[in-house]
Amino acid sequence: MNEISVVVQLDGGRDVFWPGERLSGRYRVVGVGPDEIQEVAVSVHWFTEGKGESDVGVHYQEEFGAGTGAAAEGPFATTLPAGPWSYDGVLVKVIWCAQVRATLRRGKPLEGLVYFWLGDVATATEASP
Amino acid sequence: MVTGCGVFAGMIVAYVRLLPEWRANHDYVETRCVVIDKRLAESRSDDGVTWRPEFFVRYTAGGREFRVWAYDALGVYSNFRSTHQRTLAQFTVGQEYPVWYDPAQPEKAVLVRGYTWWLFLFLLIPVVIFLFGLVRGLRILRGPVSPATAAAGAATPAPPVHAWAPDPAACEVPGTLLRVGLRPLVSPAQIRGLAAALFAAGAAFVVSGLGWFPLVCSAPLTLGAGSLLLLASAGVLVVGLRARKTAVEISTHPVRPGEAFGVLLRQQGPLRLRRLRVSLVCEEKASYRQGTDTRTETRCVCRRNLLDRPDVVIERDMPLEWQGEAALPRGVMHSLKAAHNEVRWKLVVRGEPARLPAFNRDFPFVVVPPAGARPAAPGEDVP
Repeated sequence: MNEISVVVQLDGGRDVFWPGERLSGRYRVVGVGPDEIQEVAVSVHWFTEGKGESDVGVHYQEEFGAGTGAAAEGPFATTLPAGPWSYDGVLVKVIWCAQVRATLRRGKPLEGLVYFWLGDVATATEASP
Repeated sequence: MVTGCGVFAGMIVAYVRLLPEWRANHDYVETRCVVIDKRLAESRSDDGVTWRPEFFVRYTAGGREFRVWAYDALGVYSNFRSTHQRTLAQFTVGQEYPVWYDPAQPEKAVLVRGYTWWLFLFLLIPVVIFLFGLVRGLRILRGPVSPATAAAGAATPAPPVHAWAPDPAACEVPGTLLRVGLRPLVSPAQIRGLAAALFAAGAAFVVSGLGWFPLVCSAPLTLGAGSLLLLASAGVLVVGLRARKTAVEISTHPVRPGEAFGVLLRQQGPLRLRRLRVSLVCEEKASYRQGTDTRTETRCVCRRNLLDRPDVVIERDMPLEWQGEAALPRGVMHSLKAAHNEVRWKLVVRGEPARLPAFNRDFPFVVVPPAGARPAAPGEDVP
């Protein structure tokens, strides 16, 4: 028996993208029958990590099968925005991800996500005074 | 904790100050009295003399005759001597006036009723503390939301995509020689200092006219605000006296990573500096909660000196003008302004006077992501 999970994959196996590029991928809900899936929500968003409290910005959000039931797998696609670029700073880190959340008719919702890098900002280090 | 302090402080203020007036207005029984004598009662302390008007009155309550000194329910002395003398003149010895006595203690009576306006200022302080604590408490109870959960549960429509980008126009003022003048940053410390100054001035005005009790009650607040005021004023004074007017202009705005742009510094005199420095700075700023406090941390991740000049003398009618060029490195982060996290670019002018503390003036500007930033793959032609 398969373990219950959501698998998210980006097309072409890429993990670095540029603003204005098309990001596309597929999700697959594994280990659950098609009738058991109530709804699938896909979002492409950024969030911050680091010393400060987290900030979030949602770029793309789509819900599949609300009320009627969603397919166990499907594609998604969006054109990436101008920013913010992915960033690995000292206090602030900006992380982009595509996230899929499947709501089941019974049981807890399932989540799957894949991280990607937007732009080519170099890792920052603390500057000397 | 803060909410508790607010409630506690409110209870004390209400009990000690508002309750007697409220009882005099609602519970006291009206009757008639004859004014037998009047005086300006004095109270002496280390802070000087304060006064209050008092009237020796005769009235009957519950079949018994009382002769007491009375005026208002509060019984507070203050240094408004002339006001008190006018109050004394309003009552004539030998005349009959209405009086209100406490049915539980008929020997307590007042000749005037109503509320004292400044008491509500005292009540405002615990109310503000209470509301502040309540908001903070609710935020803590609501707890942090994980980024993934927040994004998955985000209500449609989604937040605007460019909510992270600061507005370039907010940094700009008209330029004179170059295209854009930059607006100097007013630091939060200066804003807090001004707020403290207003608060302390208001508190001092109210407290100065009253007796020892309000003075003691408000001492922690006024002393705290006063200290802030002194620190802020000293900082503002030093900057104001030493820095004179500093203006910075740049040739293009917003700027992109990898771009070069012209910089103009105009520094008014008279000013004698051991060193004058202009730097291109990028700093990260993150705010986070620690207990019930919100703290902010800042780290500099890029600093490039554009000008570093020793022994600078600027005459009164001959402002220093320096024009140079700054280049943003490639691959640096653009400006980011989110609710709790920030990446900020700025030009910093630092002057080091001979004997006094150095001053810094920050001129933020906006760096936007590069346009058409996709690099060419090996063998690929990029138009």
